[in-house]
Amino acid sequence: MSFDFDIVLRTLPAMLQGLVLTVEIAVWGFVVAVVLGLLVAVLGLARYRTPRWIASAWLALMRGVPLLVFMYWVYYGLPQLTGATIGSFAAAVVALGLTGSAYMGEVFRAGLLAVDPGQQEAADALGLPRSTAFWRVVLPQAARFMVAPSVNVFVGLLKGATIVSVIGVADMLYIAKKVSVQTFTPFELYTTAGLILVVITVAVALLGFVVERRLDRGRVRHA
Amino acid sequence: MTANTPGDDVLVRLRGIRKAFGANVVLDGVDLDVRAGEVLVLLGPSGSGKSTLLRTVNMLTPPDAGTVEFDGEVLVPPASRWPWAYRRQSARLARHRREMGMVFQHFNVFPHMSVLRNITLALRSAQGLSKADAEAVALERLRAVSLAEKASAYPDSLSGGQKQRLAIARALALAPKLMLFDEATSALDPELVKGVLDEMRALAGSGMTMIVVTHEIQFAKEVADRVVFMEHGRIVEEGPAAQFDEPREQRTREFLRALSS
Ligand SMILES: Nc1ncnc2c1ncn2[C@@H]1O[C@H](COP(=O)(O)OP(=O)(O)OP(=O)(O)O)[C@@H](O)[C@H]1O
Ligand SMILES: [Mg+2]
Repeated sequence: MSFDFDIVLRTLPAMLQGLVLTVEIAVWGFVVAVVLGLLVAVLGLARYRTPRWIASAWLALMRGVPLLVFMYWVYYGLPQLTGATIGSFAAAVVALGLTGSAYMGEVFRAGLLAVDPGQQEAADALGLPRSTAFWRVVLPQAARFMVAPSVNVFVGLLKGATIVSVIGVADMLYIAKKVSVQTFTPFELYTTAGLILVVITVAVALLGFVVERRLDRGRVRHA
Repeated sequence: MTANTPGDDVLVRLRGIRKAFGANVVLDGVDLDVRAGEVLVLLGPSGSGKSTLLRTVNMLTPPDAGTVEFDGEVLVPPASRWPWAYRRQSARLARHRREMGMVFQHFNVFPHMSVLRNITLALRSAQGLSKADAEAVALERLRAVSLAEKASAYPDSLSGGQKQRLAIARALALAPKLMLFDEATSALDPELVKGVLDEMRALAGSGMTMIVVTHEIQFAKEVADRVVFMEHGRIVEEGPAAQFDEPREQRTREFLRALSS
């Protein structure tokens, strides 16, 4: 067989439009994951037992439920419970964001624990307010440890975002599927879709690398 | 006798301090008074509880039993199960801690901020100084430890001795009444020790109240108003520095001999 470049070129504009949706869903999902993840991490490191318990229950739940099931649950299940419908875009963002929050919670927690405890002690010994110690001393240093695993979470969410056609989002894969069924070119179109996602994940990894370098400002690199 | 004879008023009063980590009893009923202006040196073999005792003074390690009184007030580690009460307790302890500087063996400077910001952080966020005022105080402190020209550098570009002098300047910027030193020179290369000891010597000469854990026995004899020898979490012997030329206790003699050999 021969590779039908023509169909790729003709379908690409529509696919890229769909891709914008996929990426938007992943980015918004990631934003939700970061904000809630910080909360999950703070709960997980709390002095009290109840918040710690809530954080680990959340992690167990979100890690255990397959994303596909969760997306169905948010899109079809929740409206049955609440009586209010939810758009497919919003449902995808919610499902990805909540799933991601558990993973980001772990990323934040591990990052915070990786900071030299002497830093918190120095902040305590100086009588810094607890919020200053967290936001100005510990978190900025933890950030350095969080970048690479955050990139992994984002890539995970981006891949997760490729299933959103199951709840009716006309994303890149939805276009690829529709056109390939009509024109019998699944090889061409799925190859294209796959390569596009690879390019994006590589770009995100590079971005993470740049952020790491920025956070290393002032540090001697011990290579 | 040192030039600054300590007064009679007690700045730090420890009573019946006990601390265990699991089954390991690290402080076994320590009573100790430190008078304002006094330089107290803590000696003792590794694991005798010197660091732990020092850390109970500012509650980095709250004792299991006993009381720590600082400047006439009993320190209470935040322990309330109610968040608002916990907050109030933390804020109160933080206020006391600003009056006690601590210098650590491994410096614990903040590596992600400039030398200047290391010092201005507490001045601004805890003492509420304006940026300009905080920087003025910080620069003055840096000048005192000969680091003014490093103000905009990051700690990674400093030598160990410079990092420790930065840590000292950072603590002194809050104008504490008490300074705690935990083996401030133990992590330094030999040629860098002197610079840090010089700062400590000057500070002792200026009348600062200090509790110093050190293995620099010569330095200890020179600056100490009083020396306390600890073993197994208890005070074995204490007295003026001169007494440690002829210690009363057998254990103290053995320890000092081992140290100087
Ligand atoms: N956070 C901790 N958890 C468990 N055990 C601890 C902790 N801190 C100290 N210890 C133990 O308490 C004992 C006394 O420690 P401490 O650091 O006070 O001794 P030290 O006199 O300062 O010794 P060194 O001269 O080696 O610094 C040691 O047995 C140590 O292992
Ligand atoms: Mg010690």
